[in-house]
Amino acid sequence: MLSVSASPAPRRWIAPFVLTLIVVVSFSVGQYAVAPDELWRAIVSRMFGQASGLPPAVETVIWQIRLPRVIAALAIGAALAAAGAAYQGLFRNPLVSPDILGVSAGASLGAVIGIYFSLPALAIQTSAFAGGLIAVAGVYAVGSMVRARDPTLVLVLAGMAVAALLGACVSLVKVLADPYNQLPAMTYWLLGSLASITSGDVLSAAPAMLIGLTPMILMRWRMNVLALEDEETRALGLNAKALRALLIVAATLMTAAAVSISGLIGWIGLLTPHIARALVGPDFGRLLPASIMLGGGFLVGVDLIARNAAPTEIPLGVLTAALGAPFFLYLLATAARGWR
Amino acid sequence: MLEARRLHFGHGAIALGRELDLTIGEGEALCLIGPNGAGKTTLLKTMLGLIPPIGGEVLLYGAPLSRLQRREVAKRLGFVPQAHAALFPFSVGDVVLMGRVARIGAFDAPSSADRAIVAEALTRLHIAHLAARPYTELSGGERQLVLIARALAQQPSCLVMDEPTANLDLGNQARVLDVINALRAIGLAVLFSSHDPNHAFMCADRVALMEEGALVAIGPPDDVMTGESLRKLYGVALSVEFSAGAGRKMCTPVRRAHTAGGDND
Repeated sequence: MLSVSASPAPRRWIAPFVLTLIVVVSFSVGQYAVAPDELWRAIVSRMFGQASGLPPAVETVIWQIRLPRVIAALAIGAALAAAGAAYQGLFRNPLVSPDILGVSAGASLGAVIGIYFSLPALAIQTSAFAGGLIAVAGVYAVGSMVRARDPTLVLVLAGMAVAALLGACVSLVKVLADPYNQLPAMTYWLLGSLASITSGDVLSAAPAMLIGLTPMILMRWRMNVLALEDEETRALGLNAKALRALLIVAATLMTAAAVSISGLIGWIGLLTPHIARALVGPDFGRLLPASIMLGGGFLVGVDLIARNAAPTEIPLGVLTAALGAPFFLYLLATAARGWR
Repeated sequence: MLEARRLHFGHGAIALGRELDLTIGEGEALCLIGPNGAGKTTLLKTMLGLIPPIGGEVLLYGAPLSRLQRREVAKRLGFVPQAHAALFPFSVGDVVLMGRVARIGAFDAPSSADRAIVAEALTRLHIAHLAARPYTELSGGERQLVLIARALAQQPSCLVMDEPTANLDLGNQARVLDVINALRAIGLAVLFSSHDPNHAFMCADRVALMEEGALVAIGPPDDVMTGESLRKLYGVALSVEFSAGAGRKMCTPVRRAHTAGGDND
């Protein structure tokens, strides 16, 4: 008899190990290669405030170029994965991803409108963030107006419909946009990229991500109970509806913040919670940190490929789908027990 | 301890049953018997406060259920749903631990005392060996026992079970009924529904016959469940006779004669 969900101890170390490895490689590899010992000397000297004796170019590459990008990838990947893990539990559905309630579609429309009016970068981000939240609020409003036996299902269906509607609006704006300047910018945003990300972007998105993460950490054990039917949850003494709504808001906030600075990056929110569940089991107290580490590591790795595999940067959305979809099929085929 | 008073119950505005009165006392096992569609599940869920009553009220220790917080209700009233499939492979221990949620603070994790109560509930149902197994890999009978253990972990004084023997094979049915008898013995009140009158003979102090949302008879099994009353309830001829082998009364359908041209029933 094989006990799989009990998560033997070595499996718990896979996520942190993979994460560390990818981060180190990501600092070293690029147009300007940094040897591991140079990286080590740079970190040690920075920690103790001494001169590293490295060429200034190496210092610049590590601290000015690679570090903001790695941190951005970590934060965005982690936020998307945490939101995905939460959403899958909250909707009691392993096929749910963070954009199920239209947050991506809303953010896309916000960003595309911002680009259309040639707004500055920060305003485009704000517009994307607001668009994402407004879309989800709209879906929630529609969902709660419909009286049904299964409110969660209504919410998902309303999310699909609203996302389709917003998608049509995005297409319309693209048609109206200037095809030489605005359209490429829109296309790039819709495929996601970290090529022009700055530390300032990460700092502006961090508060929303942290505010979203806090209730998930605090109520990590209660999250497990929400995986039951609403009726059972209430019979166990928990006001499922209010708690579910609060955590949906939290996960949406994280997703909108991430997407607003990186553009659309699919698959991470769907895929990484599955891998995490296969590694550490469904208990949210362990699933959340594992998802965060794997999501962050996955995006750092994908970004590494994006900036090295071709002469020009490959959009992240293309890579996450190209890598994520086959891996997801592999997980399905090998019957990883995460969602059975 | 749990009382329905002039209860109108049903889904939405359509009442399945009207003016229904029912009381369960301390340490009593009451079995709700009736054909499919009689409204047993809806009545049980209304008495649990999961479906709002259309009229009348449900009282828990004299207090209207609608005015109590869910958390307070859950400390006294446990619910055992029908054994169901689950989505994520939580271990049996984790599933039973969820029964403690009403007694654990919003931001807290379960304590070692909570885990001890879980271990005790598992031991009481003789399923301690399943603690580390994923719930999703259990058989229907094992799942039902796990859900009973989860309700016990709530430490309630009354358990409500919705058809605890449905979809179980004969052996597992007997095991679950044994558990109900054991719970009665330790002083728990048990309200459960069944579609099989034999289950009421096996472990009910009182039985309530339910037909189209109304309780047509209520009392000790031997008094209430006669061949005549059950024939009316189920619409087929049934025999109720004492079986020396089982040590109790048994209810079985009567074989109808199918001789050529001889069906003069």
